Parts: sequence; C-alpha cells; structure tokens
Amino acid sequence: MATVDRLTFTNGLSKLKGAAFRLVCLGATAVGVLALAALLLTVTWGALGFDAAHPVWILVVLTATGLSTGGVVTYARRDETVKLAAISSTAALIGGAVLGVFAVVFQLIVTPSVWAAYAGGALLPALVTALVIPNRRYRLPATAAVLVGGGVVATVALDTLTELAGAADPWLLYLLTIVVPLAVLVWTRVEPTAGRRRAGLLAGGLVLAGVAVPLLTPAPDPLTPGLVLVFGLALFSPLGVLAWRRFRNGQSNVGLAAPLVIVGGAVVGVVIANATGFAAADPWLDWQFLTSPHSRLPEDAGLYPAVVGSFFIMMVMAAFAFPVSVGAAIYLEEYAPSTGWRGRIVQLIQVNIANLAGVPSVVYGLLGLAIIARGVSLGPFALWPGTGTGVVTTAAFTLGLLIMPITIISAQEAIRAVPDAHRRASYAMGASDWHTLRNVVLPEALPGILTGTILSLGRAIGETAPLIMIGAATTVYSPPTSLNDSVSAMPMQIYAWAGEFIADFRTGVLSAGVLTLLLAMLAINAVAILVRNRYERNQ
Amino acid sequence: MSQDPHDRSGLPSRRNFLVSSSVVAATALAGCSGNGDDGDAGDGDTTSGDGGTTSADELSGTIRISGSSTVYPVQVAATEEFRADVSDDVEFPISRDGSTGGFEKFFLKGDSDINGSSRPILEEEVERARDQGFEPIEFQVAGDALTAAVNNDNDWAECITIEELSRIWSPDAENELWSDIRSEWPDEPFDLYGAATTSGTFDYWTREVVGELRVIRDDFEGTEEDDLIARGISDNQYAHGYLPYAYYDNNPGSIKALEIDGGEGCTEPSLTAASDGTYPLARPIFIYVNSNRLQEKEELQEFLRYYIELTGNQQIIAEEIGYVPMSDQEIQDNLNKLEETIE
Amino acid sequence: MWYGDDRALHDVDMDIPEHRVTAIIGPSGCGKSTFLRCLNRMNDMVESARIEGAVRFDGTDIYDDAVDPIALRRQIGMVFQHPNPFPKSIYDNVAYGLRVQDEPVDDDVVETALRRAALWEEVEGQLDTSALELSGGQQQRLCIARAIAVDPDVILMDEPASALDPVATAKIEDLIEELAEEYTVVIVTHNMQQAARISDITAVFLTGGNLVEIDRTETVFKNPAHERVEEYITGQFG
Repeated sequence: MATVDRLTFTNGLSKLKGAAFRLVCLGATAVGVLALAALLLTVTWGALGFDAAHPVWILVVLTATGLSTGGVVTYARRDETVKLAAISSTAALIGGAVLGVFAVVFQLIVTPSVWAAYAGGALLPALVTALVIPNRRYRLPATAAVLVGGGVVATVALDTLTELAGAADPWLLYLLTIVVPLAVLVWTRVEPTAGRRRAGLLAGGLVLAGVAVPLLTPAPDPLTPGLVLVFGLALFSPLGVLAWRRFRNGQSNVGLAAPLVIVGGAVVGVVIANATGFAAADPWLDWQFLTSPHSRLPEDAGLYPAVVGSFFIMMVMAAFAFPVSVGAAIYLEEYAPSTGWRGRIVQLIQVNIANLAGVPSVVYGLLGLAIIARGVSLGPFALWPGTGTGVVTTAAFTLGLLIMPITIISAQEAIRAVPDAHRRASYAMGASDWHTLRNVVLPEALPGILTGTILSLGRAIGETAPLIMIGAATTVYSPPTSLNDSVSAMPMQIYAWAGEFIADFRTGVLSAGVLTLLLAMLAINAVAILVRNRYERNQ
Repeated sequence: MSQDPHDRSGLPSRRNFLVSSSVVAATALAGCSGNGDDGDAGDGDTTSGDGGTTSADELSGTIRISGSSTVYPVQVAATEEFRADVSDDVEFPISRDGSTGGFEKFFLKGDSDINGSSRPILEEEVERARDQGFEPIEFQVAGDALTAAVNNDNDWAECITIEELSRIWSPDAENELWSDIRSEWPDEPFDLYGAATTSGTFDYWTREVVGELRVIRDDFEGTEEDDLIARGISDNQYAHGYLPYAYYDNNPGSIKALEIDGGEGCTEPSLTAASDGTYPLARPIFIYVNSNRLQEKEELQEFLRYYIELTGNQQIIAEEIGYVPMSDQEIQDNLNKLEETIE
Repeated sequence: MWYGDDRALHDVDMDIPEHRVTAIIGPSGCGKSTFLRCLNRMNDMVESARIEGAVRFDGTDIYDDAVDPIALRRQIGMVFQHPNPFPKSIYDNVAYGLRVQDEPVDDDVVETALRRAALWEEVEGQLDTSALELSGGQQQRLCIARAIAVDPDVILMDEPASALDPVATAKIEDLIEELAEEYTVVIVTHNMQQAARISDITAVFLTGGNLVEIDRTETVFKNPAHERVEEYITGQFG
C-alpha cells in the first residue's frame, strides 16, 4: 500500500496553483489580444464605411472573402511548399508596397529629371562597369570610381541634364533609367539557367509592361503615369525575385497566387453584393482620401500631404540616424576601452544611452525646438543656425535623436550576437581588426541592425508630441518637396480631425486616417520581421 | 461693393442660401478688383463663367497660420477656397495651438504670419509684438454664440443668468451643488468642463462670465478639444460646460444648450441671436496678421483680400461651419484697414 | 604566462619539430589550450594576458616588438574545438584567408585546399551553398581547408575532434596524419588514444600549467619517465 501511496500522492495545492497561474496568464493574453482586435475592428469598420451598408451586403462580402481565404488556407495546408510560397508571396507583396511608397515619395521629392540626370550620369555607367569587368578584384573599386565620377559630372552639368531630361515625359525617363536596365539585369541573370527564349520573353515582357502600364492605366491626380510605373515596379519586384528563385530551385510557383486569390475573392464579393441592390458600404478610406489634402468638408478631406510628409521625414531621419547609430554602436562594442577610468566613462555613456531610450518624446520635442529649430549661438557666434520651425529637416533630426538610443542599443545587441568563435576564427586567419569587422562582424550583424532600425521607423511614424513641439503644421495642402518645406505628418492631421466640429470627421475620416497610419506601421514592422526571418534562416 | 450679392437682412433658415460658395466668393472678389483698389488683384474665376481673366498664376509662397482651434475651420475654409480659386502655388501650413498657444509659440516669435484668436489680443501681447518690430493687425472673421451646455437628461435648467454662471465658475464662491445656484435645482454636485488655458475661449469665458481675465475655479476639466467637452457633458447628468456654437450646431441632440439671460430675458443661442446682439455670450473671433509680413508678401495681401471677402459668405461660414458671417459693412471696413496697412 | 594575477603556465620549455604531429595532452585546466594560444599570440586578445620568456619560430621570438601578430598568424594557422565556419558560402569560407591577406583568389587554390582537407568530393558543385548546411564533421574539415588555403607553416589544432562523432573523428585523424607531410601540426587533445594514434611527439601537461614530460609518443605511452605521467596515462589520475 505504501508504495502505491507514494506513486499516486500529488500535492493538490501546488497543482491548483499551477492551474490558476496558467489561467491568469491566459487571461492576460486574451485581454491584450482582444483589446487590439477590438481597436482594429472598430477602426476598420469605420474607415471602410460599413455603417452605411445593409447587413446583407456585409454578409455577402465577408462570405466571399472568407471563402477565398478558406480555400487558399485549405489548399496550402496540404502541401508544405505551397504553404511556404503563399506566405512568402504575401510577405513579398507587403514589402513591395512599402518599397513602392518610399520609391514614389522619393521620386516626388527629387523630381524625375534630377533622378534621370543622376541615373544616366552615374548609376547606369556604374552598373555597366560592374557587369562588364569580370575580375572580382577590380570590379568594386572601378564601379565606385565610375559612380563617384559620374555623380560629380552629373552635379556639375545638372542644369543642362535636367533641362534635357525635362523635355521627355517622366514615364519615358523611368522607362529608360529603370525598366530597361532592369530588363538587361533580368536577362543576364535568367539567360544562363533558363535559356535565351525564356530570358528574352521575360526581359521583353518587362519592357513592354514598362510602356503599357503608363499608357494604359489611368493615373489619378496627383499620381503621374511615371509614378504609377515606379510604384508598380517596386510592388512586384520582390515577388518577381521570389518567383525566379523558386523557379531556379525547381519549386512549384502555384502558391504565389495566394494573395491574389484572397483579394480576388473580396473583389468578387463586392461585385456580387453590389448586384444584390442592398446598400453598399461607403468607405472613407478610398483613393480620394489618399490623394487629397484636408478640407473643411469631411467627404473632401484626405491625408495625402501628411502621408508623403511622414515618409519624407522617415527617409531623412533614417539617412541621418542610421550611420550615426551604427557608428556609435561599433565604437562602443568593438573599440571603446572597457577597463580603467576610461572604461568607467564608457560605462557611464552606456547607461545614459539606455536611459535616453526611456525619455518621453515630448522632451525630444522641446530639445528639437530649442536647439535644432531655433539654433544655438554663443554670444555673437552662431554655432548652429537653426533649421526653422515645422520643416522637414527639423522634424527628421528631432525624431532621429528620439530613435537613436533605440537604434544604437539594438545595433550593439546585433554586434554582440555575432559569435566570438567567428571573430577568433577570423583573427586566427591573420585578419586585422578592420578585416574582421568588415568581413565577419558587420555582415553578420547587419540584419539585426536593420531590423532594429526599421522597427524604430515604425515607432517614429506614430510620434505626435515632438512634432507638435517643433511647430509642425497640423494641415498642409501640398506635400513637402524639399528639406526646408513645412511638413505635416499623419498623426498630426489625425489628431486635428479628432477635434473637428463636424461629427463625420471624428468618426469616418478619423478612422480612415488611423487605419492608414496603422497599415503603414504594420507594413513597416512586417518588413522588419521579414529581414529578421531571412537572417535566421541563413544562420 | 454695392453689387455684392450677400443678402444679410436677418439670418433666415439655411435652405434659402444654397448658393454655390465659389460663385459667391468669386463674384465678390471680381467686384473688389473691379473697384481698382489694386491693379493686379487675383480674379477667382473658376465657376462663375463671367469671363474674367486669371492673372494670379504667378502668386506663390508660404503663409504660416497658427492659433485658435475655434478659428481653425474658418482658416481651413479660406485657405482651401483660395487655393481652388486663386493660386494653388501658395502653401498654407496651419496648426491648432489655441489662441494663446499660437501667440506665444509662433506669432509673437515671428514664426507665423497669421494667428487665429477667439478673443481680442491682450495689451501685453501687442507690446511684445512691437518689441519684435511689428504690429499685429486685427481682423474679425466671424462671430460665435458661445454655448453653455448641459446634459440632455438635465430637466431642471432651461435658462440661466450670467450671474448664476459666474457663481458656478467663480473661484471665490464655494458652490458645489446645483442647489447652491438655485434652491429648486437638485442637491447634486456639478461636473464642469471648459476650455484649456491656452485657449482664447478660456480667456473670453473668464472675463465675460466670471468677471476677471484668467481667474476661474480650478476643479474643472480643461481641454482644447471641444469634442471632449461635449463627451464629458453627455456622460454625466449633472455636467455643465461651454463650447463654440459651431460644435453644438453640428452635433444636434448630443447635448442641450441653455438659454442665457443677460438681464433682458432668456435667449437661445443661435446665429441670428448672435448677429443681432440679443444673445449675451455672442463673441467675435479674429485673425491677427504680422504687419511686416503683410507689407512684404504679395501673396499674403492677396490672400487676405480674398479671406476678408469670404468672411461674408453665408454658405461657408454659417451653413458649413456654423459661425456668424461678417456684414457687408464690416467687410468693407476690414478691406479698407487692410489696404491702409499695406501702404 | 599570466592571466591577471593568476599564473597559467610555469616554465614551459619545449621544441616542436617540423613536419611532425606534436600532441599536447593533459587533464582539464592544465593549461594546454593556453599554451597553444601562446604559439600564435591569440592570447593577445585577452587584455589581462601577459607572458614572460620567448617563443621562437624559425629562430625569431614571436613576442618581439617587431613581430606583427597578424603576419605571424598568417604563418601559423589554427583550428578550434568547435567547428566555426563563417555564415558564408563554402567558397567564401575557404577564400577568406586569401582575401584578408590581399592575395588573389582563384578557383584552383580553393579546390586544392578542399582536396587536401578531404572535403572536395563531398562539396564539389555546391560551393555557393552556405557552409552552415554542412554536417559538423564536414564543417570542421572546411575549417581545416580554410586554415591551409593560405599555406601556413604550422597548424595549431585545439581539440579539433572533441565535438564530433566517432566517424567524423576518424576522418579528421586520418586527415591530420596526411597534413603532417607538409605542415607542422600541433594538436591539443584530452583523448589519449587519439594522441597515441596520430602523434609523433607527445607533451604532457599536468595541473598548474607545468610541462611534465615531452618525448616520442611511444616512449611517453609505453615507458614514461615520470610516475605522475604514468598514473595519468593509465587513468589513475586526472
């Protein structure tokens, strides 16, 4: 009996505690997930104008979308490669969309003719150099030399070149500077494995699409045919690369159609639902919303200048914060002394960086206003002239300072995560510090560094307080095109809508704005996750 | 401006004024340039088809507008229409900072060209502008009937006197219950919502109702967002607060407006009552312009000419926004003031 | 040889003959790995490390101020306990040493190194795939290929087979014997059978960083001069 007792006796209280703790954890998770889901649902519901729709209409659309999604999921679950293809093609499209928005905003800012001047003067010659020189050793320096030399030439002759380029339609410039080189690149990559016929078809098809898309697609103001072309290229490039890789590895590409089928299902659902004659949804988040500035009338109001402003700020911010953070992280991790009084100073700096990451953003706003915007002078000497209130540079620098502690710390962590074994292996091969850093540490840390930076972009895009402090406008009518232009950002305009007199602003337009901001942020975070996953798979 | 089509004999129901806003604005502007005040005044011919020429296409630049959120809808309307009618090469960064916030942060530092204000500029602010080397030029752009509101379920208060409001909001009188104000009202504490201290509405309310500028009890919720005030009032049966008439007008049914007795009987807040002076809490709302910028920037001159004309637009100011438009005479006076400053 | 105030090695005096396999054995913590790292100045990486005395390589003291540790390590390669290929392609791993030494990389050099490391047959045609896709034993042979691609004089091996299964270990052992035809090999191992199988000379370190005995391998194993060494070898100690 005693043996049996020993084997069956369990501590009931401890078991109970365990179960209770498990329930509490489950509850905490549920609260978080449900709260987020409720927020997203409310915002989506309002932004897509489902209030106006008849329940039958909603039911039809949701059923169709559910059926197509369910179909894809059921089909993909049977086959691991199809599943992987479905997931990666969705990811590729999201990444492509983010890339596309950045590319369009970039082109809006630099203008097609300036782009063409530099592309024709420096980028293309460099590309040709890289393709023509066979020897690995000379390729890089030669390409760099052509790039720099061409850049200098293009800058000197900028007026003439832009005038020349200005004579052509922008989309024609994009065709020549982007589509044709891309076609050549596709040819060189595809031809050796897939043969001449296929490579020719692909490259030719690409050029044909480059002509057809701008000519045939309507380009609703403020987008031009050229910008539609740029967006289309960016949107589908990652998918194209993915399809090519899978083709080369002999994998089936059926799964790549998954996002198309799901969206197609939703579209068919809307068509059927409209045919039923029941009241359709009246979406606030539509093309008009994305391409118009604010208006006093909710049905005319939009977010366009703020979207461009947000992305412009992010680009300038990343260009400024990325090199500084990576530089600081490399110094602190690889070079900074760790012992003695100098080591203690480094430790102090390290602790301060960690603390700065927790400083409220409004403080950065104050700093941005007092120093970056208004300038610093010591008596009669102007140390820093000040960039002015509410302009792109000020916003980008202020937000750049805001994210820098986070990017420095994440870059440091990425560098620290490089195994010491790899460093030692490199040193044992007779590599110097510099070689080891350049060839081993940085390449291995880069994905981690990029992930941290991209995630911090996602944080910066939602910041409002520092922008208010530096005097960024709530409303502007045209997107900023230079660093000294007044800028508004998505959260600024959204905040203003929350205080409008007219109720539609506070419900529909506000929801549309919030959904746009959330989608932009989620897409950016998705890109970060993609980078990280790719990196983990390579490890 | 005798041919000006605005009919402002009284402010009748909205339906009579479904005139296209651009037509009104454009004709008004055409009349202005026809008077020959300025040789190359912009002609806002877009929809009226009266064959006028568009001569303002060279107009460009940036006009920074800061200030009151009460004035914000008017600023948006004026800038939006100006870009549609005259020149979309002029960029208008607009921010909502509150009247005082806008003065402090931008206008008095020379950062903004125009500051919206829901109260007259203070003497001290004028002095600081002069120290900066410019004169703030005042233009009234609309009128508001500041609305004292209570919860829809409030069935005791219909009309309230200024004196009673003062007793609610004054820091000296220690009134906490509705019954402290009138004995037949319930023995329940009131829950107060009002404008933030950066707001011109706050300044107006303290001076006109409490009796002394910026003196008020401190146990109320102050915010720059009228929507939050309205939500606070609609959430509590015993709540009370004040907000611009335009908010009340655009959100009928969510809160209940009190009639105000300024000594001559109870008056319901309305645009009519505000414009004929019978509503005691009728208040002007203003924009202030930096005189130096006005003299330097042609686009600013042109914009203000357009803006002042637009303040008489019944459709935009009254129907769409919910403020009292300016009368022909007031517009003419403002235009004269503008031209004087420019010279 | 000190780490801070802790002395890791005492009065080690030994000759390492050319084109032979010299094994260093001893119980854990006896300082054998530390000694190995002295030979290519990898201890320089440890800030508190300090050394007295001299290590002569071709007559030159490698701790002389004029000696550049980077140049030294190009002559004295090293293979570590755990396979540590870079997360790069097989080709780039082998070519790494040449690249950092600014020497021309051609496919022949890579092929030769992989052949010598007895890996060529297994990876031919997939040189562009990641080195991390190889098995543990293959990775270790890749590390050896990487070390010999730059054609060093000496190869130091720090328990190169201890993390591998018996089959992979056998391959590595065969490889080491072949390598001795062209290179001087110094191998640290805690596996006495392994030392007995592959080495020509055996050095025995015992606790406290003392070199107790060094002689021909057969002598050390069959007829050790010191009693403690005999106890260690027969398993009575350590």
